[in-house]
Amino acid sequence: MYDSFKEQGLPVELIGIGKDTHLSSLSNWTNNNNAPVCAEESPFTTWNNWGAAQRDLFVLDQDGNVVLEQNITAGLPNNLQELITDLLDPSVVPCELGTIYVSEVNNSGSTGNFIEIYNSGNVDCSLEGFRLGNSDDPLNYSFGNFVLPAGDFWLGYEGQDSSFSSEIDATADTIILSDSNSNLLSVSIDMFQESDGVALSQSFSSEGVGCYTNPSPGSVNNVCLVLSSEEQKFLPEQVTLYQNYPNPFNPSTKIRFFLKNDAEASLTIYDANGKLILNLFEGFQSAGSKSFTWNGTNQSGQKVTTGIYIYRLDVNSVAYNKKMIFIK
Amino acid sequence: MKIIYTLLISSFIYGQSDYSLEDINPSSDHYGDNVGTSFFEGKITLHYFGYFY
Repeated sequence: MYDSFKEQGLPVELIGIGKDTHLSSLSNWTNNNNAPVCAEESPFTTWNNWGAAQRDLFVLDQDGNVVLEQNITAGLPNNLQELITDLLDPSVVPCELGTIYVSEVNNSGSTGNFIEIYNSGNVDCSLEGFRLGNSDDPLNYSFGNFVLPAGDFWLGYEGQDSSFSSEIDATADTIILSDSNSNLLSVSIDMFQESDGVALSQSFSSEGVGCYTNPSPGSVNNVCLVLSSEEQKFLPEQVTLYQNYPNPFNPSTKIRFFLKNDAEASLTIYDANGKLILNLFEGFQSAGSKSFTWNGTNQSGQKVTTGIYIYRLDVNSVAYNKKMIFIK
Repeated sequence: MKIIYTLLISSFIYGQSDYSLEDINPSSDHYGDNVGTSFFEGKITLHYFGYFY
């Protein structure tokens, strides 16, 4: 454990002290470690049993305060490493959503997909208890006790070691960041786009407002791009069903879609088992962008339970589906 | 072996937890220095008092 701290360059020192007669008769004090070794009886006043075959450990913090004094004849305390780790970085505070937010996402393909998280605050903070995922798997990735320095980025690539594994949808998705109290922030990802052969990212402000940018994984986002119609050639020409916003949501969310031409259409909500929850509308719709609000109620006007729901847009007998999450 | 008995009775900062003893470990970075709690000021220190067999 001591070697591990030293290899990491952490400010931890071990000092061994033994009675002169023991040190002079046994060389292993000096041969088996690189820590200072001194010959003396304990200078700590609490030590009073030197004649016994006893081992004691004292731990002092950076200010010289004794934080542990323990007879360790039977072994080191199980929480010793945790105790020292806590002493090393007592100033690290839990991160706060909003100060921490999803700042960039790339959904160009599984090997290039990444999510970037930015600490916009002025203090380092711990992501312990935070989870990252998408609409299919909101709790996919746990950060452990990762400390995100102030003004720095966390960067994860899909399917890589120590990173998220949920598959970001290239057509549209929702990236969800949650804290240890299950508070959520989400950003909506639109269809993957290219510009001049570059697979663009979608960059976001702390308010979740996004735009297409040239990728800048792990660094400050590039400026927003205005795409020409030629560059937006991947967009469906007839019908586009967008990811709802906000998502997850409570109490209500907006569902948007685009119709190039007038059409007979319907928008319906189902639960994850395919049970009909509510028909938001059915009938003629003129061409253009449309927006409907669902307030999380069923056909009887009752609030639905927390869970994943599917909204389905039917246009001229063709169905378009997306998932959303309602949270109470 | 020379033993340096320079226990500091410093009542400020470290109180009775401080001491200063010669490091006699040739493989230590501080070999020959008088080390103790205040020698490593600003660091976490583990002080092990052992009866080696």
